[in-house]
This record gives sequence, structure tokens and C-alpha cells, in this order.
Amino acid sequence: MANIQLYHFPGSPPCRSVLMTAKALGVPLELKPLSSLNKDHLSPEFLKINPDHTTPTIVDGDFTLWESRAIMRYLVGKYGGEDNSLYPRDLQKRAEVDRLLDYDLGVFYRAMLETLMLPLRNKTKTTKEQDEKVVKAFERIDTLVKDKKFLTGNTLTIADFAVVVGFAAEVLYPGDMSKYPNAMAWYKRIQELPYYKEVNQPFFDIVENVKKQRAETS
Amino acid sequence: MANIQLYHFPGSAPCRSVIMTAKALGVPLDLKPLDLMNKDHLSPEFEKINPDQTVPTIIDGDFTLWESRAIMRYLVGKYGGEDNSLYPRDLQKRAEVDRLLDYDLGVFYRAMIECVWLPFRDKIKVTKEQDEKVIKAFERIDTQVKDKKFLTGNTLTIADFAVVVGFAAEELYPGDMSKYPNAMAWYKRVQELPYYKEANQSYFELLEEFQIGKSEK
Repeated sequence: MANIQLYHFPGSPPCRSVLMTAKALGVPLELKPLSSLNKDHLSPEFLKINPDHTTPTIVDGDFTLWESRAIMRYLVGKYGGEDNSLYPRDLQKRAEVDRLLDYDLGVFYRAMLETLMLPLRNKTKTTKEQDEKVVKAFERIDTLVKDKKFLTGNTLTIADFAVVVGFAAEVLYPGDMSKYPNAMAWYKRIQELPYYKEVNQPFFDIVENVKKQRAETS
Repeated sequence: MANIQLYHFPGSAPCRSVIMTAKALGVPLDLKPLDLMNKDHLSPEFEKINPDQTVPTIIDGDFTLWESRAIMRYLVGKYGGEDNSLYPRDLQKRAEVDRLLDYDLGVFYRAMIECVWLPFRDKIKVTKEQDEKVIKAFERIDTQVKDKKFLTGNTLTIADFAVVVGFAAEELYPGDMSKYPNAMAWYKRVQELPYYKEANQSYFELLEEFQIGKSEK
């Protein structure tokens, strides 16, 4: 049986969430890197696969799926066995993961993207309102993980995989992360997962490259 | 057993999604309206219930939950029986609903709010970029429902409940909706659900208030 194909932009946060989920489940992926600079995702070939032209996109046999959080749920459901703690069957535990995934999509990741990642790439300045959103976002995670190992309690879930890839943008944050000791402890815990470095290194490489380029041209 | 309590802003789109889901499942709700203008959602009492201070928020016994799409999934799972077509157990069908719910949260609903509703409410001119986002959003729904009764096929799902409440902003859109015949047919179909009017009436009343205020100036 062919491996699941994953179309991804190397280093892209939602693609890393899917990669971590697959690693955690032991599901091999055939990686199909796309270049966003080259606009590979807008090619006629890729539009046939995904008319929303976004990554991550997976092709599992004759089934195509996109949206990282939908993919993570699908992978756990299909390959995680009867009841996998990454996305538990218990309705209340599952609902809490669902809630955090939506908080991530709608609020947390958006703050990280718009105020930390995009300004680096586009060389734009942030507004006071945007800066306040980032502080609020970090504070929220800090409160959430207080007295917990992971976002929902003692067990790792796909909510952790979703939030951590945005949280990694803290490397770009000029403020003082020691204000968020619970969040940083949680972040360190996730970085200790055996597959974390392999999956997330491309993001840090990109950040380093951009910073180097900025230093050279300034 | 006490009914589920729903904290909501009357007329709020994500609250209407939850109300429609509960109606479809026959789950009674104990409605707790909050006043957005009065900042009820920022009160210390409500913060104790939901530290994110958002609606909709439900309390089901000793369990509190917010985020409309999480609530819809929970309601179907808890009250929908073994395998409810509103959020099917089949992994591929479920994944398609999940995908559309995220497209709604991340793209479609955002376009409706930022590029149609807020400019209308605050009387700001829509930029070219905003207008293009709205057109792209309507086109996407139009393509999605072509040759289908509902967003995922022949059966209604919570994805329809999510998208339709944002789509209702078409009422405020100055452009030509006849360009999106499939989307408008789908919209009409969802409006024909027996509980649609009751669940969404507060939104149309809100629009009337704003339109009336507008014409008085």
C-alpha cells in the first residue's frame, strides 16, 4: 500500500503539526515539498488536487484532504487504533481538544502569524494593538498549562501539535518570555519529544536565513 | 435533568449555528442572552464561566464548553445517537466536515465579518482587496455546492450550520448574488429548514435596527 502523500511548504507551521502527528502515530509520509516562492501551490496540477490551493494537503489512496486540524483528526482516527489519547473518544476530553484547535486557528496562530512571522518576512512594523494580542496570546497559554504537563492535562494531544508550531515564533519575539514560565516549560517539554527536532528544524533554518539576510543588507 | 444553558449574544452568527444544531437534534436549551453593548461578556461572573470571554458558551451539567464548532460536534456526539449524519462517524465524511468547519473559521466567516458586516456596521468603505475576498468566498461556496443539496453532498451537516450564518451577510452585500446561483439555491434550501427562521430571526431584527438607524441619519 502506498504511503500517504503530504504536500507541504518546508518549515510551514501547519505542515509541521501534521508531520508531528504522523511521527507520533508511526505513519510514514511521502513528502512532496512545494515552493511558495515559486507559487507551486497555484499550479494547474496542484489546483486539481486541492482547489483551495493550500498546504498541508494529504492524498491517502483515493482520498484527498486539507486543513491541518482536519488532517490531524483524520490520521488519529484512521491510524491511531480504538481510542488514541492524541484525540480521545471521551466526548468531554475531545471537546476540549476541539475548543483549543479552534482557539489556535482563530486567535493564537493568527496572532503569531500576523505579529511575529509576517512582519519578519515582509519587513513591516507592528501596531500597538497587534503587540497586545501577542502578549494576551502568550498569557493565555501560560494560564492554560499552569499545573499541567500539556494543554489539556497530563497527556499530549493534537492541540499541543497545533499550538506549538505557532508558539515557536517566540524566537522572533522581542519581549521577555520569562514572563510566561508555565508556557516555556510546556514548550520545552514538547521540544523533548523524539521527533520534534527533525520536524521543526526547517522552520528555525528559515528564520536564521532571513535574519542573516537582514543583517547583511542593513 | 436541567437543560443545557447557552450564553449568547442574540443575533450572533456562531450562536445561531449552535441553536440550529440543538434544534436539529431536539435538544432543549436554556438561553442566557448577554448584552454585547453592555459588555456583559467581560463581567467577572462570566469570566469565571469562560476565561476567553466569548459566546457561544454552553454549560451541560458540570461541563462548560465554548467555540461554536466544538460545541456543535459535542452536541451531535452526546445527543445525536450512534451515528448522526449531522457529523458522521465515517472518517472520510467526518474529515470533509472538519475541513469545511476550518475553512469557515479561517477564511469564509472571516471574509463575511471583515469585508461585509463590519464595513456595514461602521459605515466604512470596502477596499478592493476586501471585495475580492468576498467574491472569492462566494465563488468558493458556489463551486462547493454545485450538483449538491448541501455542502458535503445530499445530507445536511454541521458544516452547513456554520457556513450559512456567515453567508446570511449576503443581505448586506451590494454586489450581484445572481452570479452565485448554486450558493443561493443552497441558501434557500437551508432557510427552508423548519427551525431556520426561529434560530436566525434575531439576526434579521439586528439588521433592521442598523438599517433603520442608517436611514435616520
